[in-house]
Amino acid sequence: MFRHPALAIAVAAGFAFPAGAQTLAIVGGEVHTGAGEVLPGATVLVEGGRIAAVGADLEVPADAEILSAEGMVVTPGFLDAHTLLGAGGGSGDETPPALGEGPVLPAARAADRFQEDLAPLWLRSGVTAAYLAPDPRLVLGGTGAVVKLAGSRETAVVDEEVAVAASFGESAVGDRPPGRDAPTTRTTRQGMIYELRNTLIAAGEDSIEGAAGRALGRLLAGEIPLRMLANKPDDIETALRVAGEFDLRLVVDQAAGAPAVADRLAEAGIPVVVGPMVLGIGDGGPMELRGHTPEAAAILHDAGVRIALSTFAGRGRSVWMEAVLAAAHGLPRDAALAAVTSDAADILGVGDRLGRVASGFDADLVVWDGHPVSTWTKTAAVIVDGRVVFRR
Amino acid sequence: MRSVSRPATRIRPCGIVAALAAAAGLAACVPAEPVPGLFAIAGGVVHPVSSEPIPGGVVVVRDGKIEAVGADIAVPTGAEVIDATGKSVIPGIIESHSHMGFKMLNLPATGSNNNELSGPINAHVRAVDGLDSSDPAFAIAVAGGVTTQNVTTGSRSPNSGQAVLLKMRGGTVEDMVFAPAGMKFAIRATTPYPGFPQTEQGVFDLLAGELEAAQEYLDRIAAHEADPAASSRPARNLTREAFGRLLTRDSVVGVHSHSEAQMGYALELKRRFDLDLYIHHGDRTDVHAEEMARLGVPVSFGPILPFDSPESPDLLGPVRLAELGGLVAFHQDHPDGHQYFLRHTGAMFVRRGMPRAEALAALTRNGARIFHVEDRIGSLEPGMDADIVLLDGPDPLAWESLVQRVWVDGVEVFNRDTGYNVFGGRIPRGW
Repeated sequence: MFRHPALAIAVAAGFAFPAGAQTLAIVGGEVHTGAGEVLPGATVLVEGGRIAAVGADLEVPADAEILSAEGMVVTPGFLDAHTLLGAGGGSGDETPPALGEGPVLPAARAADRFQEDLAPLWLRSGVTAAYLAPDPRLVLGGTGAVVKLAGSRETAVVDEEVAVAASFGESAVGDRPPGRDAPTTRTTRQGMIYELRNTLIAAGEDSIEGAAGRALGRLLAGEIPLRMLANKPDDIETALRVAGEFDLRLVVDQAAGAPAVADRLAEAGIPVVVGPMVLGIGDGGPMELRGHTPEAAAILHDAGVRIALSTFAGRGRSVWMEAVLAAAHGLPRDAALAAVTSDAADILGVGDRLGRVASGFDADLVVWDGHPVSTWTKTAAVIVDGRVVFRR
Repeated sequence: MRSVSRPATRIRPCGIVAALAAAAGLAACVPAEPVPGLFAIAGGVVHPVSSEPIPGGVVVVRDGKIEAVGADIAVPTGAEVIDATGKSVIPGIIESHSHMGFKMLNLPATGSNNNELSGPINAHVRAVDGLDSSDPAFAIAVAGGVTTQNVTTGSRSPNSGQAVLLKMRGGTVEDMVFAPAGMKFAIRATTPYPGFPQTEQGVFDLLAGELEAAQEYLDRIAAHEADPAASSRPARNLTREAFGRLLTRDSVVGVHSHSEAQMGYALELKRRFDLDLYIHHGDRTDVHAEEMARLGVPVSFGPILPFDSPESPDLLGPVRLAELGGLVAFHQDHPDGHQYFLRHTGAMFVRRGMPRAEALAALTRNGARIFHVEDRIGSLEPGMDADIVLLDGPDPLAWESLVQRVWVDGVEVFNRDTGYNVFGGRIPRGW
């Protein structure tokens, strides 16, 4: 569908950005911490962009800006665990992503291509941060970042390098119309895995220079995980195989076929970033993701797999929708909330700053007019770094 | 099906009949031999769409047609009674724009029959002749409560041919054919094929020229019939005939247009030729709402749920058009969006101000009105086809409510509890 970036920017310009008081007190709401706790009638005190205290009987400083959340629910800002805001284009977009020079491009940083002008509508729907994937059509597309969807370019980047991103299966082969094929010379699954394996061996021998070598070094040292986009059950198992060979930390992305191998993923402690249920499956979408079903998140959760939810979008649909749909199809509401807050933050490697309403965490918060995992609930206010960036 | 499935609801007829009879002040239950093709869905909130919701309503179906709808109606002897207590009952959902059976879920997106590109004008091409009923997506459609869809080709050519309404009965295309769905135009200039216009103005001029030529064709036929001696009858021309049906308003035409300018050309076609015309996609319905309402141009709006944020300003266009009394239907444009989520689009508009009844109508009756089949489908009234969806919650637009059972012409095509789907095992478990 043709869309209008200019409109999105106009909406952004219309946001109220009040001169932030030093202290913000969000008073009287039912606080869902994102990690399973529910605190009725609680106050969240925010100082200097961080959460200073959370509790029922907090003393509110006299000079604090008061935001009443009476009758409302306060949660951490939602995180979208897989977006294309840094991939140079969106799923279903008319504009193909900028292409690299080969199937392996580990030096490309999604953080450098953050399209912040696409963020405002997500922010209004309660999403305050997102994982930016690099080009998903490459076997090794580069490194992924976590950014906030408000603030300056400097403050928005939470972590510019949280993972090395790989794609496997049809996503990398390029099941697309002519002109949109992935620039890969390896057209088979086994060819891609050779490419990946060979690159990891070279990195282990310190023969890859520059940013790519450094990122791969961090991957081999276990500092950051490999995020591998794999949909068919066999492909997911291949991801496990390769990760085992190099002793890598692994996160499986999209994973439409994960329910079939849920027990194995649970046993290996491999988290899954569940692919979107609401997906453009027309020209350009990965065919394999069409095996995805709305019950996948619930099946994985039941099996003991830690999950985050995602949109795989460069615009449009919100991960809030994924949470509501996952819950409607059997994922407990608390688990759905965790899958877009605390669990998502942990899987993304930013669980020490984002995803929880707790002292010391970034004050990225959403005030909702009901339980956020519900069809009819809307955001009342969205706060990023302690600043109210949207009020309905 | 996994744990999310609710318990089976088939109640022994006698028990529920007794309860209903008591509520209706009738005599006690009399066990009766079940009558084939006769059943009643009782106790839920019935949304006829053509009238106000009925709490604790009853829908009686006999031989594929709706026999009765209401709160105080007797369940006929021998009817199987389906307990809908705590649930909702709505008309079958109508998908107003789809490429199912052309852009196949089980084949690569390319190489399909979706676009005849031998020339820019394809009025003579009929979708029904190229459809493939083996598309697994049909199974996902019924799981989402869709009972009828407008299947169309295109939109790479300015005129991709004639669309068809299919009912989700299962079987072959011939089994599913319900009614013609008119012609399809596309105002777009991104079609770099030989002989195709390269601008939107060029597309408009081409279509206008074809309509004028068809008028001349009709005039020549009329002249011949008025005075057979004075002129010969023109040779049959399937293209001109098809365009001619637009001029005589015997056929509706849907115009693919996204941008403000494209929609402007579509409305100009309406003004110049007084066609029975609707716009599909209609991204900038917000801009054109007043003129669309004035001209009586409906919109089949979408696809919505892969692309739209719940906060998207584009959603306000259909809300405004409906406010002005215009006709709004929704679509998912399979395969751009799953039809499973067509029902979910309703809530997106209600959240932005559309009345719930209007959103439900946009999923059901309004699509039927666009294709002039509202006397057959789209509402729950006596005499209508028994295309019915039972949802497992009281709010049919809430995403928390799941489609539990679906009937087409009174025949069950989907049952979440038993896992039955008339399209068989064409899809992964879980839909």
